[in-house]
Amino acid sequence: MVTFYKLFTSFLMIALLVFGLLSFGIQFQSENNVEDPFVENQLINETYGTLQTDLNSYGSESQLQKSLFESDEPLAGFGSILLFSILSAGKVFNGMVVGTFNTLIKLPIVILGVDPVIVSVLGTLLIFSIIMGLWILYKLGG
Amino acid sequence: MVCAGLETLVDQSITGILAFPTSCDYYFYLKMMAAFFIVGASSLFFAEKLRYQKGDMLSCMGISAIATIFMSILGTFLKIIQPDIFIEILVACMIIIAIWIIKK
Repeated sequence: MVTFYKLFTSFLMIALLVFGLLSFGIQFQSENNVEDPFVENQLINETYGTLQTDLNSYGSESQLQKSLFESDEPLAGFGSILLFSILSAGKVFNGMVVGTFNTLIKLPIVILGVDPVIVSVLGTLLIFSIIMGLWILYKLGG
Repeated sequence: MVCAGLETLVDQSITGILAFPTSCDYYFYLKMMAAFFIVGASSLFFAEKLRYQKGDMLSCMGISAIATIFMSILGTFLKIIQPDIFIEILVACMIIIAIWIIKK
């Protein structure tokens, strides 16, 4: 079973890599005056814009969660320390993973014609992994 | 499939010669990029296997996918790869890269 930390890191790395490749392509084509740039494709443009907005917003959301975590008063629990801010962090960070998945999955659905059944199964697997990962995170802290 | 002979080639610049195969097969460079990807991934895999006695095929495919995307971007600059073909290559390579990163 994949841990939530690993899942979150993987999805952010994928988002960053895809964003980097799209940025490079767009910039390269614009600097070399390519006649028919691929950014004119509506789906690519939309994906690029959404990724840019999402990645920009992640920084401020993480800062907010960090502040919540710092202001939380730790309570002594049975064999562990209880920090309730981790619940909020889990909710926000799982939204980032699902948001990235939803943004990126549109491309294969439309361009390669991936069947909705496959997307549905992948989405189910992802959500199940997130729930189990978060449960382990809440329960054991790792 | 019957293609026109080279005598019908009008644009005799490098770009024109490179773009000539697409006149009879629209997906020519899509197939070329697929071949480039397979050759790149296989070369990396077998070189790794020779050096370390074991190889990771998925990593080799991921690296080869990134190289294929860069080659395709160059292809759009030379006007030999059309935007819709490039987008198909980009998305297919992105899936391989995503699987590689998740598996890692």
